[in-house]
Amino acid sequence: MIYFYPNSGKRAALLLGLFMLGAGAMAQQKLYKKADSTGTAGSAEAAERLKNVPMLARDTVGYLPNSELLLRTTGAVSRLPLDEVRKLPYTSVNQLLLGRVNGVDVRIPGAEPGKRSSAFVRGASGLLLKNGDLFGAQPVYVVDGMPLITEHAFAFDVQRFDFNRMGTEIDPLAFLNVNDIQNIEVLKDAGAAAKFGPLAANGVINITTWGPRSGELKVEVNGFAGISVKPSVDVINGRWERDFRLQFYDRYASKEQFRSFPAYLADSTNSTYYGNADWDEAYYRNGWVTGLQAAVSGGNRLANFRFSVGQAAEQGVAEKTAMRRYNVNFGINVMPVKNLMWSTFISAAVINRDRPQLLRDRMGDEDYILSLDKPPSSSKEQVEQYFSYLEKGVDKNRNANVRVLNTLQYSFGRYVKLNSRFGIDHGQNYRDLFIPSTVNDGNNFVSNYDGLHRRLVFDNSLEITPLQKKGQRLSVTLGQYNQWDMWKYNYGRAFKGKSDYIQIYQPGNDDNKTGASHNLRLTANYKDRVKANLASFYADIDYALQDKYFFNLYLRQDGSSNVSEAERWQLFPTASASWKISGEDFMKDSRLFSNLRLRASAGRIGKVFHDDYYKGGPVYNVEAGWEGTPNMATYNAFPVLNAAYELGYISPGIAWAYTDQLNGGLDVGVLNGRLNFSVDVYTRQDKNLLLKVPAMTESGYTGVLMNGMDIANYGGELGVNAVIVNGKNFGWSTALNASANKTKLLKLPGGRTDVRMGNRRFLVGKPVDKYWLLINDGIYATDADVPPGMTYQGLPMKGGDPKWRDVSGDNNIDDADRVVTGTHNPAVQGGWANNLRYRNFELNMLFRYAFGGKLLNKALADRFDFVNHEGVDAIEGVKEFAYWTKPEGDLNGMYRYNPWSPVRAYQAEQTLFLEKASYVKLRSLSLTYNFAGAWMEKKGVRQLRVFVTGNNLFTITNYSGGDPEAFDYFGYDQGVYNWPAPKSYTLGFNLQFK
Amino acid sequence: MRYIWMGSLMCLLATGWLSCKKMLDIDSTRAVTEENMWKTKNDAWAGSFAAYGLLRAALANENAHWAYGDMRGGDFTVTKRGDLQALRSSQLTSNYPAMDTWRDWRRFYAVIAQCNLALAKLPGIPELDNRYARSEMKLDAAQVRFVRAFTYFYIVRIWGDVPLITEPFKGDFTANTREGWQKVLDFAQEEALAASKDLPWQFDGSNPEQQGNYRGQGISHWRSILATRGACYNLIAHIAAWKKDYATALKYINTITDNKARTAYDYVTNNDMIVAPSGTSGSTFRGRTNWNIFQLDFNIDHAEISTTGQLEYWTLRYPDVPKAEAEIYVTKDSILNIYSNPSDVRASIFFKDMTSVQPMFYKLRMLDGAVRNPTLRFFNAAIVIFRYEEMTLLRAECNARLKNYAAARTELNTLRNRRYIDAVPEDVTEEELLDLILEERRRELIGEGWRWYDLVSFGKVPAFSRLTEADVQNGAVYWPLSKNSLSLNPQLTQYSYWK
Repeated sequence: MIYFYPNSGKRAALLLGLFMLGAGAMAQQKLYKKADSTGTAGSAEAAERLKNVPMLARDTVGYLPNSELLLRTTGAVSRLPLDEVRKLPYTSVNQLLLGRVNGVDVRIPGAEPGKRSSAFVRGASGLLLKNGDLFGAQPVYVVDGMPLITEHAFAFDVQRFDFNRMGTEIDPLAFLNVNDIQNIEVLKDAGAAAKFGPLAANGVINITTWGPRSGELKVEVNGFAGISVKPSVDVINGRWERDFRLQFYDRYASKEQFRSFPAYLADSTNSTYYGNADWDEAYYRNGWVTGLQAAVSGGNRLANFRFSVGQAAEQGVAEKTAMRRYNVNFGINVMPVKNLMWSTFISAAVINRDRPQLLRDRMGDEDYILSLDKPPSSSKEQVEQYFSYLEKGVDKNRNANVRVLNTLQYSFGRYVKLNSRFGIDHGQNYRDLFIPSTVNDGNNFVSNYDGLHRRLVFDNSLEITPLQKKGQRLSVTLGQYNQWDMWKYNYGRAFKGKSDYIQIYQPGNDDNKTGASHNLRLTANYKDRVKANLASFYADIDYALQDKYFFNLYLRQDGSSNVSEAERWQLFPTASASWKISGEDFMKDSRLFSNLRLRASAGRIGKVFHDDYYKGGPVYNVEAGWEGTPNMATYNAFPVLNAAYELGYISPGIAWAYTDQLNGGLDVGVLNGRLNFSVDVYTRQDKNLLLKVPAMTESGYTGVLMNGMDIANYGGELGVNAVIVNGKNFGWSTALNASANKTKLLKLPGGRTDVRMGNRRFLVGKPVDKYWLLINDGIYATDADVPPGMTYQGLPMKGGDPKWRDVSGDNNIDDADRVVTGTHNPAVQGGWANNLRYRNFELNMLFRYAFGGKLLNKALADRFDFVNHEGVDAIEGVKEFAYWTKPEGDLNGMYRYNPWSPVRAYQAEQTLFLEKASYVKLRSLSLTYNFAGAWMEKKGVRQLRVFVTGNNLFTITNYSGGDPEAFDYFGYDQGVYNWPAPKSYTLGFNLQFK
Repeated sequence: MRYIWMGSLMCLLATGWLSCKKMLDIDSTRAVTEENMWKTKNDAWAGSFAAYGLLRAALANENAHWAYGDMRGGDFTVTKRGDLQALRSSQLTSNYPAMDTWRDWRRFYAVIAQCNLALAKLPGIPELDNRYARSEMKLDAAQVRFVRAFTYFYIVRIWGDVPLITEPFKGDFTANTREGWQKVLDFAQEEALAASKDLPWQFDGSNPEQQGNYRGQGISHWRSILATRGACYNLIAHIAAWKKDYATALKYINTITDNKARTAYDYVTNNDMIVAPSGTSGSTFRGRTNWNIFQLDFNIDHAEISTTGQLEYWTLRYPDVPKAEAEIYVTKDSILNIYSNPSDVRASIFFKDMTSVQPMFYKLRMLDGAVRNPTLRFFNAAIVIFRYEEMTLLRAECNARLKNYAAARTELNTLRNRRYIDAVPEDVTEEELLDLILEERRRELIGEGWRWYDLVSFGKVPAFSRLTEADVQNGAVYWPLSKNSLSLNPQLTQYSYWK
């Protein structure tokens, strides 16, 4: 009977979707003729059908009938004030959330338009050590009840460097147009999120779009245009760099070291590096940002629709980057037969991204280190020439996304309803890359990436509401949920094509080594595919007593295809309750409180694994590669297959990881609702997490993958909304949100208390987000200043070496002297919004703040560590155009260590480069004029407003290394790789016709 | 109507239940589980050749073969890289990422673990797959046995006492102590001997151990790149020599030379063949020649090429690769000192740009025609482990140690003659003769990962480095263990020099 499900692939799913759409459209056509368009039923038949359908607040019959279930949100929820963000030039959901919703930490490490970003709801749910770890720590984005599929981290498996993921790196959340969004809520605790199942383990961003509506035809048009302002940078040329380095050379360099002074800095007559430092004029620009959207909606109560199209474009200020998006949405509701409500949504979007042409990223793409002898020039002509060469190449990045959602609800009279929901989220991403030989050491490079990801969900439930009395309401929902996920990609690359005019990739076969374009030996192809399925059964019991006491019990049995068979099924329960104290008799006469509500929830939610090889014990893999060639698969043309020493030893019987969440909240409204507080305290414990613990090196394995790590995130959130003045002409309201989150490692697998991984050390009982650093206490000016016998990992220390604190007191500096300290996660963060109104004018502003975080200025460390970055034939030696910017940071405050010392005096992992990075930023400022008057009525205009906005206007910070928001996901400020968000100004309007 | 809906609902839920099992049972598309491995001929082929693949990876990783074998010897001078500078001056505990990698023996133990596993699993496969004959299984297993023995020999030279693990890993990680290096070498020697019994002299189908084509390929594919009986005997000779058991070493070398008709081993026919570039048949570092006894192959025909992992990554520069300065070079003074005999052909063919401040080491320069003009830096030089000239010098050393001075001189002169150097005088003392052999090894094998081990086995480390005899006694010739190894296995201890 399995064929009942459309799991035979996307064709079946698409067919079903089309069929449902077609049927819906036909029914609509039929009914539309019979009915009037005023929102009331026209014919007797229609009247009959509408008999049992309650009028909903949003004036529509079937709008998202099934998601009603999911939308009944209690628990800890933050809502986004959308009316304001609609004015701002944002292209991604994460940009909307930043600073405006409580409990969400949005990270946008660089202002490349359209690039992937991250959000963490109530802290990260696992260890973050590499880019691939981010994918499993993101919340699920649900659009109208359809949980969106996110990208898979698997492409990193064949990549040598951990920079960009192969493919387009386009932000999947840039598909939505803000003008199509009606509502965004962040569901933070189990009480609110559990209904979304294991996907919701990291929280839920629940997005509701404007659906079809009944009523007169309504047309709206929204648009904006503006400019991102070219940044002013402190440019330098070779002279500055030479002077900077000479102070070290003069003090410490030996004759041989002097001899290897870089040639490009030694010759001060060379205009490439000693000419005018005007590279920035060609490198940066003022970028346009534009957006236009139009929507039309209407219909009667038996059949109605909404259709919208939108466009947005954003040009970055550096590297000629840009993104362009086009999107279409279509939704209809129909009631084809009595008691059956049906709604269909179809959305499609295309995003193109012009990405930066950073050298480091290119070498990552090519998996090949180009000649690093000469850095890019500091002169404008050469930047222009470089980009003109690049323009002869290709770098197309395109994501295409289609979403189809069908929901059905059938009511069996008053007490029983059947809900069914079927959705597809289908995304494709392509990248075509051709690098001409002119900028690539004389050898061109071509690659293409074709990725696909798809999610199908099928959710059926039966809702029984046996008690519907005045003082009591009980509803029981029993349901079953299935989800099929699939990710795959094909990737091919080739070096040294025959000509720069042949920009394809068509290698010859084995007999004919030189094919149409490339030598077969200089090509490589990769394919990958993962499937992950989820099946669940759930029961949702909802009970409300006298509109004062609310109880909810949600039981869910989940089975995941990525968990070993013995451990596959597990029960995840959640209970929540709330008490509306202000509804009690003793509060009835309270003048102070208009609302007082106490909430509590406790629940356990399963966490799915993203990889499919954890379920059957140890595995075999192809790992014959090494550091420079990680993907070698053969020995003398014969394939090899080895026990997975690199991947790690997979312990048998890996079980579900899950998260246990506790939340308590209090909502208070006073002074007739003019002042509202909301306080939440929570703990979230992610338990039984999978961790690759380092294995004894004699086993040959890099690590053992096992369950058993527990991490806690705990903290609180405070939201305050106040209407301070609410006069006829003048009004002022303010909203402050603040959240604090701390982490703690509760347990490590197998009773361990201490694990070291990469640059981090994790100790049970300590936070998991801190750096692991040596402490700087100064400098040993001369050999005589070094305490007798003081060594660094056994090497005697000398004058010019850092005076690192000998924490362990053994006269030897090593890892035992590193301390776990400082985190890039702020102690408190949030936003402060102010809305001022005077007659028809409105002034809105948002300050974003974060206090108590620290950053490690890696860009500065690398600059001081020039010895190990100059002339090294490795990725660390790459310099970009923006290298010719004066390094940001406390240049003069740094000790002048001996950079040649084998102790590696300027390693980034020391407190020397750790700096406080608290800040307040005026993220947005907007001035709006709302038109009003009788003329609008006459012209049929419902709403018209025009506005100007300014973004990122100023930042107040104690961080000396530049924009305190521009750093990578792991707390390192990578300088030129983390672009600060530019200042931008826009002008826009919202227009609604009746 | 209502019943129809109720009925369909029941069906719906029922189908959901039924399909769940099937829906959730998906095999991984990305890795092979234990139950699906070691079942067929293909598994045997891939699982046994993984031993070679992992060994090549271990030697290529961060140019480990030369980091261990050449750099500490001091013949190469470093231009800029701090880690190489520290390596050259034996500051092996210094803080560089590559140094961390070199200190770590995990990749070698991955080779050993794979060998242990394959040796346990291979014998069961012929029963499961009748395409995989028992004779072929024995051949594969013997090669794996050789790789394991070689790996133990290799790591004993680097770390001295090392844990001896001979059984496949069974799910619990037990902490092992460092076994005395003699005992490890005894094991390696026995294993090499055991392997030799099942291996042919050549994979040309003419030996009882191997008939017809091996894996569908003839001798031209397999020459030098697989374990043979000759490779086993050569390994035994080296192990024995490291244990100072020169009689045994000589015995096995003699067995090889006595079987010349079957091994076809020979000297490089023409001196240019040592340095001949890729594309020249018979080129030593392209390999698969009669003068290479065992090599770990890189081959552009199979796209087994790499930017790193071969010596060229460190030694080549402009105009061969787009890089102004090589990472390492041999100074002019050193060249004149090492090749003190002006007639020595090697001084002119191993080096280029002798007039410049930094001559280029040009012995290895495997850039295939397909990656030239302009150069795309993918090298395909084989890592040559054993070759005939090296064996000749080992034989000379054994003879000298066993006081067969005349035989030792003959061996040495044979090679000197081929490289256009005068014969050694007949009245040299044993000590002088050994010095001459060491010098000859230095001249012939420069850049092939021998120098440091030669200094150790000839007891010349104090003479050629800043380490004293006391340092040597304290374990300074060996590498320190990695922080990882030490922190994960409490049974391990560092040699006192590195404490």
